[in-house]
Amino acid sequence: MLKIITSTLILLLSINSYSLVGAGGYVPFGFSTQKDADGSRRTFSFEPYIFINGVLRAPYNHIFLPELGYVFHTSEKYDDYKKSTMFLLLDLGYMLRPNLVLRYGVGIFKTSISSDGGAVTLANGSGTSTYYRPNESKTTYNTTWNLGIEKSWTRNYATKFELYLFEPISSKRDISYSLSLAYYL
Amino acid sequence: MYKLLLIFLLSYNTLGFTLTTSPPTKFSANEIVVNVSSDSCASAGMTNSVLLDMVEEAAEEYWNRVTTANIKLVRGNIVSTTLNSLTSVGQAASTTSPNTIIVGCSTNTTLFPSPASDSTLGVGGIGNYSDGPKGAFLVNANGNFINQGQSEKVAVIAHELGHALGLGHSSDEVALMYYSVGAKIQERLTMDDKDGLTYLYPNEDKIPASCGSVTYNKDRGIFSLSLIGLLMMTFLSLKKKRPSLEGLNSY
Ligand SMILES: [Zn+2]
Repeated sequence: MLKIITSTLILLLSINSYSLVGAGGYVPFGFSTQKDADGSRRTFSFEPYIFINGVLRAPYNHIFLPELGYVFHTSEKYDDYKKSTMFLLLDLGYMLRPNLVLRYGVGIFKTSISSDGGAVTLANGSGTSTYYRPNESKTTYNTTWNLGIEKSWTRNYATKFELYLFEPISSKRDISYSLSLAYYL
Repeated sequence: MYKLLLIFLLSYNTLGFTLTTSPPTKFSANEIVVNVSSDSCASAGMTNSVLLDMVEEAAEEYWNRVTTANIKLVRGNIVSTTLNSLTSVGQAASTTSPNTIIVGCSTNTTLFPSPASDSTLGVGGIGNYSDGPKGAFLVNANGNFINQGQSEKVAVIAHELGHALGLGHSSDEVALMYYSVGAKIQERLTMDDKDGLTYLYPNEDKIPASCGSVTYNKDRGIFSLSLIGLLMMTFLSLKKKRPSLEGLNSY
């Protein structure tokens, strides 16, 4: 994975024609994850993320948009463990209008969860029990199908909304989405 | 008092899932069949087949939806075994086959004493045995399970299934794995629950299930990745001239 990321990054940066950098919010599995005791979901729990996006010409009114992103999981207080998400998108962009691009493609998401271990005493029925915090780093990989729309407002700025369908052909499929502002380098 | 303070200090500043043991006890397969024992569930207010239906619902509504985790609970059968004389969840687990979970209703008063004052709705857990990891949970048929609403019953079963998968309690009050149901509405897992399951059962294949349920070996994975690389190179070579912003906009 590191190899792919490094080579993609080198590739993106070596495209001296142009690329985009951006920042925004990413909501992992907002519709399927409970947030509060009243049963409400995490629909608008945006986690900050940054990305770099290459833009390459492709045939049939398309552009090729490889993107590398990193999510900082901060909207929930993970006092007890660390979590990070890195992703690589291989999207194609179809120019609907000169300033409006429909994006679609595939992606790989890599999520790592780690903690430094230790015992915790927590309530258990009428007494207490000892449980253990994770003491390693575990990494999970997912493939996605992506669909997004990107609108440029000026020569330099664009906004982007994208949906990521995780494990699309599995019964465990789920949706994440992001909203971001991109700057043309 | 000192003990209370110690507990407070130990649990202070922690928010997150825990595991039942360290290193974690977990299943070694990706599909775990859940069977129900033939013990009567009458004093828990249901039949065995209703319990089996609720186990399936709990699996489907909660744990089987975690897209980042590589584990699936599968509905099994009502099996002719009795757990009612057993006094611990570990003993119950030892009766089942490796990489399965056994569920039953228990009226054993050593396991579930003083029904009037005990608020325990069930116990669940996982253990490593000489032939492999096995999980179990027992519904407290002496207690208040019978008085819970339908969705609370399913949430309680899902919570116990969480223990049977290897998760301990969470200090996150909204999490399914928080020790008490309390007044909350538990319709879904929280991110904390999902992260716990993901930590125990990550998808370690880099090109995973969306290409089918085939298990990939490493060579195949690298091959797939080089295909992506080839695709990228093809697009690169198709680039006749360096695109400019203007060029792109009018393209
Ligand atoms: Zn519990």
